[in-house]
Amino acid sequence: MLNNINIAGLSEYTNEVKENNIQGKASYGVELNWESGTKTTVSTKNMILGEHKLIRDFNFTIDEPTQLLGVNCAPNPAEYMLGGLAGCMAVTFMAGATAMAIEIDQLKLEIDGELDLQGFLGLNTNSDAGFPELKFIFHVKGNGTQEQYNTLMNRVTKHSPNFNTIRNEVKMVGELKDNALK
Amino acid sequence: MKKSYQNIEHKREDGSIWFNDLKRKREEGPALNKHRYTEFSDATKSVHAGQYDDPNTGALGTPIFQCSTFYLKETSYQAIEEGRGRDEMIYTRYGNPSQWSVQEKLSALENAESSIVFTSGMAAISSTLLAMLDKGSHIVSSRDIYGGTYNFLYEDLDRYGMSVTFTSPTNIKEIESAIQEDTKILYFEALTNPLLKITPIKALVALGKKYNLRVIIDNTFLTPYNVKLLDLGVDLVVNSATKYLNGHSDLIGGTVSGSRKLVDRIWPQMLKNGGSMDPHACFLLERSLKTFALRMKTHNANAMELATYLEAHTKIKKVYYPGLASHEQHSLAKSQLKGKNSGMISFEIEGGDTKAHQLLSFLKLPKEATSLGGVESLISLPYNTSQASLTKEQQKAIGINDGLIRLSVGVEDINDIISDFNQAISKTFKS
Repeated sequence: MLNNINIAGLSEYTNEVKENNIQGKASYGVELNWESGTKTTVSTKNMILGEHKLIRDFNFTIDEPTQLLGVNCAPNPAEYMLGGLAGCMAVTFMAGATAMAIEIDQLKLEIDGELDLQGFLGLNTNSDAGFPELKFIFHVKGNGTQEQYNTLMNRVTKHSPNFNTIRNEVKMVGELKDNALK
Repeated sequence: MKKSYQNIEHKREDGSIWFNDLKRKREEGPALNKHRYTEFSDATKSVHAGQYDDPNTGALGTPIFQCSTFYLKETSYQAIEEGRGRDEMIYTRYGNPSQWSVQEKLSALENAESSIVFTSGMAAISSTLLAMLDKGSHIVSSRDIYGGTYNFLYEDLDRYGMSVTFTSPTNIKEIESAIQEDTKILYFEALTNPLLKITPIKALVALGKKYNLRVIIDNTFLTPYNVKLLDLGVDLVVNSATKYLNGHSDLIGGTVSGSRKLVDRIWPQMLKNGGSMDPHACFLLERSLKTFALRMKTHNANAMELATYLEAHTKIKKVYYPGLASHEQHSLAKSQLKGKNSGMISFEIEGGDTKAHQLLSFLKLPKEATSLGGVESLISLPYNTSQASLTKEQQKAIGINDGLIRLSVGVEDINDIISDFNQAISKTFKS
């Protein structure tokens, strides 16, 4: 299989969703538990893809560097967010490259950004607490042309779910359940 | 089968392609002969469906394609590149015309989009479950499940980070209460061994829908002749082809049938586990299936008549057969099996296991052997065969009482079978 991606399977799934939209619905969730200090653990919730359950039995730890009051035992939330963004962009890039018959030997993706922690610390109410800008660089080695890779990068910005979640405004719905835990 | 890039090769070259341009959709099969005889009855499907008549020689009937590999062509390389190797002849573990032919006959009989044949029923069951489960998954299954399946679920799932809960095969409330957050599959048998309990399929399918689960059923004891489980909403059906499907006690095999989507997910698991059926075994199975409906009709009729005879006999304490009004789930049998109650009977004889052994020694027609579904009647005692790993107390707890005998009623003349039981029971109680 080119790039070890089953393009026939992708074609079949795309056409299945075209005929039956519900098969394209994928519900995700995570559950976070605070451990101590800045350290938390995250469990992935089971997904529903279409009408059937997928078991997502994965866990990971989040922490902060010691300079930011953690014990530095795991990546921090910003790094996980950037990692999730990069992973999603890479999947989209590789599936797209396979559809375009480009064989990729190596793909590396860098994403960088700078936070102004004044927003987090409340020192400057005009400062955005989030990243004002993210820079990404695709390092690609394969048999494609520069023009094809540029096309693919544009496709990634259009079709990658995580890229569009970060770039677009997302409706955030919050709720508090006070003392609901056992 | 359509290729992914059919008529859009130019888009691929100029880079304007995206996934929504891809053309390949799932189709039934894979098949060389797409005539499923859908409009015909099971007897006709058994004879004709899937058969591949060789166009070069005009030979009538599927040849035995006894080869391990195939010439590679441009279409083979394209299929490998696109990941659609199941639709091309590349290597016999991947696919072979002998496999495709018998798989199409099975799909026609099961009303399935796709089927795979395996080297054994356990190869079919283990590959199917491993393909369908994720890390951390939980299965709800039956306490009465076949021993081989029980061992796989109980002994091996744990090693893959998965788990199982065994529950009643008949009590839907008990089954529902066994469902956990990580449950992914409800795995049951349509008719259990040896007490012939009937799993309520429609209620089980409704439970699956309620909790977004897949329902997989082993239909070995009933076969698609007696009940078409996919029509009732079951996701996948597995069978030991060794039993009724082949029916001649001369082959080991297994099958899985269902939607092309799900069977395509089992296929790569089969490639990894091994267990693809040999072409010669495919030939034997396809040949046997030509008389499948004929055989099943006789198995069912003979079993009904013999069960009625046994129930009336003063030396027989109890008969387990879904076609009898005395069966605990007879009303479910009527609605789910519609008068086609299988060729399996279990019964308890007066005098316990001692008399049961004597009876077996006096019978001339039923052969004392494990397995079932052959043209010859086969008879055995569950206590020292299928349920031998349980203590006497454990056996009693699940209804394996003293003197319980399991009988697979063959297709011999029913008058001969009844006469044989008559003389054997008489001798048993004179000695």
